[in-house]
Amino acid sequence: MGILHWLFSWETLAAFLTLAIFSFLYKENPVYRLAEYLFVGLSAGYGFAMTYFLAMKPNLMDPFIIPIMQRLHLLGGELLPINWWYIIPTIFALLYLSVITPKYSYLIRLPFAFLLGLGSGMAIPRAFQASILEQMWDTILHSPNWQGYAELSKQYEWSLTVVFISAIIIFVSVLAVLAYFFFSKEHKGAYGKFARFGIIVLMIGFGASFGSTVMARYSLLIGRLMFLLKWLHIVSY
Amino acid sequence: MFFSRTLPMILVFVMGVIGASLYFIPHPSAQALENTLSQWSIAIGSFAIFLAITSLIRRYITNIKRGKEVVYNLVALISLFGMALLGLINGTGPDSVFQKIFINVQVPLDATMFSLLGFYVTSAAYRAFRARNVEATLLLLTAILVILGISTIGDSQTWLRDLQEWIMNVPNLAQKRGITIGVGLGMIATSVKIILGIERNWMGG
Amino acid sequence: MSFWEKLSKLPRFWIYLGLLIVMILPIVLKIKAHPKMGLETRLVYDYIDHMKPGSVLLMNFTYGPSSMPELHPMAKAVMRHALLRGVKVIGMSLNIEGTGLGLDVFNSVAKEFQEAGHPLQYGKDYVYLGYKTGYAMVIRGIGGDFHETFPVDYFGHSTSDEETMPLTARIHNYDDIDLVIDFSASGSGATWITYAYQQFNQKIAIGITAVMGADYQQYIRTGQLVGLLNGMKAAADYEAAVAKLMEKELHYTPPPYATVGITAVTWAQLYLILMVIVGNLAFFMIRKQQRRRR
Repeated sequence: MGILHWLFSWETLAAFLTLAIFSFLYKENPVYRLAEYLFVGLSAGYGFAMTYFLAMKPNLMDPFIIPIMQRLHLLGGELLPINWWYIIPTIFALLYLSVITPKYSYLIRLPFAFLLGLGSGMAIPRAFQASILEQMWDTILHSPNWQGYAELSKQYEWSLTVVFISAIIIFVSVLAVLAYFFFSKEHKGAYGKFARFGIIVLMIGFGASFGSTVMARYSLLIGRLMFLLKWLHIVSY
Repeated sequence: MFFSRTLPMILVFVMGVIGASLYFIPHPSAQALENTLSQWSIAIGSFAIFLAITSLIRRYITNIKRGKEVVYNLVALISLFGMALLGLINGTGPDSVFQKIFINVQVPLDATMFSLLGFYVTSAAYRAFRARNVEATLLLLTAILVILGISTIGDSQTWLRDLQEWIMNVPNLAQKRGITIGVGLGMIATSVKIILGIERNWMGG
Repeated sequence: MSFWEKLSKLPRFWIYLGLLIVMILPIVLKIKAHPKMGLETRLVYDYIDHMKPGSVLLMNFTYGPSSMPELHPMAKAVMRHALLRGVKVIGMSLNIEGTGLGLDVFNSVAKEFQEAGHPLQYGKDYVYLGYKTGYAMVIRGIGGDFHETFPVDYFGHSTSDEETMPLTARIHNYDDIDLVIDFSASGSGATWITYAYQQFNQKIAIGITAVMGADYQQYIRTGQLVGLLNGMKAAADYEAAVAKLMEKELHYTPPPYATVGITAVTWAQLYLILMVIVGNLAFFMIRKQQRRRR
C-alpha cells in the first residue's frame, strides 16, 4: 500500500517529468519532446485562467462589461454599479479580439498604440531620472557634504579612505566605459588609451556577472536534485 | 488606411505626449488623469492574453492539419484547454487540482529545463573559458574571486568576502552604471522615436 | 594523442558525472552551512528588523519556477522575519507563474506559524492579492489608487471590505506601504525603482536571482534601493538568521532549504574552478607542445 501510494502520488509524477527533461542531456528523445509540449500547453492554460480571474474580470469586466450584461438580463447575480468611464478601455480591449478575423486584425494596432504610446511617454522622464540623473549625481558627487561620505562609510563598513578612493575609481571608470561606447570619436591616442581602460573595466564587470551567474545556475540544479532525493526519501527537506 | 496606419500613429503620439507631460504637472487633477490612464492600461492589457493564446492555438491546429508532429501538438492543445477550463470551472484555490497541477507538473518541467544550464555552464567553462589574453585573464580572475567570495568560503575567509564586496560595489558598479546610463539614453531615444512615428516596427508588416 | 590532448577532449559524460557527485554528496551527508551575512543582505535584514509592528510590507513575486530554488526560500525567510516583527504582509505578482509560487510562499509560512502556535489571521495579518497585467502601469497604479488597481484579492474578496480585510482596507497608495520587496528573475527591480521610487519615494528592496545580482549595486549607493538579496547565498544567510530568531521567539524551527543547498552550490562552484584550471592547463600545455614541434 505504501509503495503503491508513493508510486501514484503527485511527487512521482513530478519526479518522472523531471527525469524526462533531464533525459535531454543524453540526447533529444520523444519523452523529452512530449514533456516540452505539455509544458507549453499547461503554461498557456494556466496563464489564461489566472489572467481571467485576477486581471480581466476584476479590472475590466466587473466595472463595465458584467454590469451592462446584467442590465440586459444576460447575466444574473447581485447588480454591480456601472463605471461609465470604463467604456473607453473596454472598446480598446475588445479590439484585441479582432485577431480572430484576419480581415480586421489590423484593428489590434489601436490597443497596441494606446499602451505603447502611454508606456513610452511615461518612461521618458522617469528613466531619465532613475537611470541617468541619479546615477550621474552619485558618480560625480555622491554627496555635497562630508556627512554623506561618512554615512556611506558606515553603511559599507569601509574606512573613509577606502570610500574616497573608491569614489574616484568609480568616477574614472564610468567615464572610461562611456568613452569606450562613444564611437563618434576615433579610439586613438590618449582617448584611445582611456577607452582601452574602459574595456578593462568592462571585463571586470563581466567577470563579476559571470561569477554571480554561476551560483544561480548551480542553485537551479541543486533545487531539482534536492527534490529527487526527497522523493526517494534519501533526505527529508 | 486611416484605421490601419494613420489612427494608430495619431494615438501613439497623443498618448505619448500625455504620458510624458503629466509627470511634470504636480496638480492633483493631472495626477488623477495619469492614474486613470494607468488603470485603463491594466484593463486593456489583460485582454492581450487573447492574442498570445490565439496565435498558439492557430499554430497547433495548422501543424495537426498538416500532419506535422500530430501527437505533440495534440498534447499541447489538450493541456492548454484542459488547464484553462480546470481553472475557470473548478477554481484556483491553494488546494485545488489546478494549483496541484501547477506545482507538480508545470513547476518541475520549467525548473528542470533551466537546471540543465548547470551542466552546460560547467562543460563550457572546461572547454571555452581560456586565459588567451589580458582581457580574458582579467575576466577569469574576477569571476574566480567573486565565486569564492560569494560562496560559503567567504564566510570564514573574510578577506575574500571583503574583496568580492569591493569588486561588486566599485569596479563592477562602475561598469554596470556606464551601461545603465547608455541603456537609459537608448530607451529614451526609442520612446521618442515611437511617439514621433519614426519607429513603426510595432505595427508589424 | 598526448595526455593533455586527451584531457582537453574529456567527454561531457565525465564532466557531468563529476558535477552530480559533488552536488549530491553534501546534500546526502547533510552538511549544513553556518552562513555569515553579506553586506547587501544585511542592509535588507536590518531594515526589516527595525520596521515598527503594524507597518506594511508589500512582497512582489516576479519569478517563475526556473529561479525558484534561489528566490522561494528567500521570500519565505523574509516573510517569516516580517511576521515575527509584527509587520503586516501583502503579496502580489507581476508574473503569471509567480502567482502560484507566491501563493505557495504565503500558504506555507502561514502554516508554519500555525504549527508554531501563533496562528495568523488572513485579511488582518496577511493578504495575497495575486497577479495583475501591465507591469509598470500596475506599479504606477498602486501609487494612484490601490483599491482600483487591486479591487479583489486572489480569492475574490473585496480589498476595501473593512470587516473581512482590514489590512488592505486601510491602504490607499504608497503612503500606507512601508517597504516593497520585489523577488525577481527579470528587470522588474529597475521598474519598481523607476515608477515607485522616483515618483512616490517608496522604499524598495529587491531579492534577485544571482544572474542579475551584479547589476543592482549601483542603486544601493544612490539610495534608490535599501538593500539587495543576491541569489541562494543571500537566501541561506537570511534563512539561517530568521531560523535562529524563530527558535528563540517561537521555539519553532522552520524547515531548512537554502542553508542545505548552499553547501552543495559551494562544492559545485569549486568544481567549476577546478574545471577552468584543468582546461586552461591542458590548453597551455598543448600550445607549448605545438610550439616545440615547430
